[in-house]
Amino acid sequence: MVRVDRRLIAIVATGGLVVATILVIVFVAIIPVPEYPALQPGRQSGYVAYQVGDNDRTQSVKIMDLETLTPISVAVGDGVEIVGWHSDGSLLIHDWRAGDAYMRIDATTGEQIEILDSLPADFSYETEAFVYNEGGMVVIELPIGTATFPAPESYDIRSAVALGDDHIVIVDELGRVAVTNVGNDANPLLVASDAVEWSRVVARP
Amino acid sequence: MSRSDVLKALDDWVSAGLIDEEQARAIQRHEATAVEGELPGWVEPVAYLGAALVAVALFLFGVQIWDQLAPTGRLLLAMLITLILFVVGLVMRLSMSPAAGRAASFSWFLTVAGVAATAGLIVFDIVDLDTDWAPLLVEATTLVSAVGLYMFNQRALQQVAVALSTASLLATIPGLLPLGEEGWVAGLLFLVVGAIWLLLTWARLLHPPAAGWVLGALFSIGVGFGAFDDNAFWSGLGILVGLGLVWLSTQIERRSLLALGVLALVIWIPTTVTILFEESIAVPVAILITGVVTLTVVVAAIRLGRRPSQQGLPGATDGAS
Repeated sequence: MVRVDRRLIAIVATGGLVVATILVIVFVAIIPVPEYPALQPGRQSGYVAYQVGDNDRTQSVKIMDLETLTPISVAVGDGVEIVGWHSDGSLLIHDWRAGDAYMRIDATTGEQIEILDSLPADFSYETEAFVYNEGGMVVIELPIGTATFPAPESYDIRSAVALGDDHIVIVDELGRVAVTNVGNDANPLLVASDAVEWSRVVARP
Repeated sequence: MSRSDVLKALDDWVSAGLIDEEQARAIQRHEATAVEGELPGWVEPVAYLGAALVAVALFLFGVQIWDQLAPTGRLLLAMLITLILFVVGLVMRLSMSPAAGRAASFSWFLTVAGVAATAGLIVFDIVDLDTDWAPLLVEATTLVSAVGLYMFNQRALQQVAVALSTASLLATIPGLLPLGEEGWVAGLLFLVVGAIWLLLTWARLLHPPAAGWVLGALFSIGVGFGAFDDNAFWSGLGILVGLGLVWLSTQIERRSLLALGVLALVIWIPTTVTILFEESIAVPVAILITGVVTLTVVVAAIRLGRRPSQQGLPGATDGAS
């Protein structure tokens, strides 16, 4: 008799514990991967460049005019990496297939201007953000400031750089490119969602 | 009827009040000596030594040819070894000899490892599943096989295999969910599984109870993993679990729970102190606090243990299995 009661108690308690645990995880622990509303044309100025591809292989580089949200696609093939912006506003792409060769691309037309043997003397890489998660908030730290917004701990931002003095451009694990304001109430807006997930992003005002 | 069946039946008869604990132990001793008398005592250790040497030789041989094998060859090899281990366990299990029973248990314990390796080869080498959930698939398959073997052979090692498979699964799950913080969810999962394990042992649904108490306690102690996010709440819970285990050890007279309770205190008190007072308290002070609390708890447990314990809880001592 006692044995039956014990088993019943244990089974009921086990069921209760399992249900309670699932409820706690679903309603307290899980934070959905953030959805970003789309950036509307005319809301933001500047240029963003990122790599587009398939199966982790780069096929092209896209340069996005944030003012018009019109992308310019530069077919480059695999084996290249975005380096940054030339002082005159053109885009520099490192072509690994050709050794130390750098393509200089016109950001407004996508046409190749020239191939350089080395980076210009006055070139400097954009500072990549230090990104971490603290208590369910993703924190993106850059010299211009810090942006924080809710995101799960497993959510990865693969690349983040400053856009001017008060905005940050990010590429996340889903290959989404977004621009956000700096601050604790950061509100990322979706620019594109076709970046290769490990793409380096560069931005200029 | 195999030895594990006899042990389970004895446990059930004690629960039903047909025989008492002393009579159960007497029957157990009688059955053990009846068949153990067939072989000298040194045979079993020497047999294990021989089996270990064969296993090491096969392992070294496998390492040498592994790289030369195609994925299907590797899979076939893993499946063959797993099948051999399973069949050996099956044959051994038919014997009433305790030594054969232990060998069967060990063989099926390795069978679970074989299933894990086979599932891993299928998922990662053959199918080449490129998803974050792939490890979970391997772990779930392993757990199902471990539970299946445990259902047929309810011995300590089979329960350990289920526990290891479960622990592996629990460690993987938080990384796959979009969680705000992964650490405390891992701690919560270990606490809940530990509590369920202890409950099922208390209800005599897990055999042998000695293994059930120990494994349930170990899972419960894992609650402190929640402190990996520098959250002292979870290491504090780890301390409470430690105290709870010490108290439980006095109630059901299981020294293993006392040891595990103290282990929890030794791990989670300094963790909590370090998280809360990292800046102001030096390491020696944290160790001193841990030592004083541990000694106090053990002395209190010894004093409590001298009182008459509750009756009716399964297993009077740690040797009950």
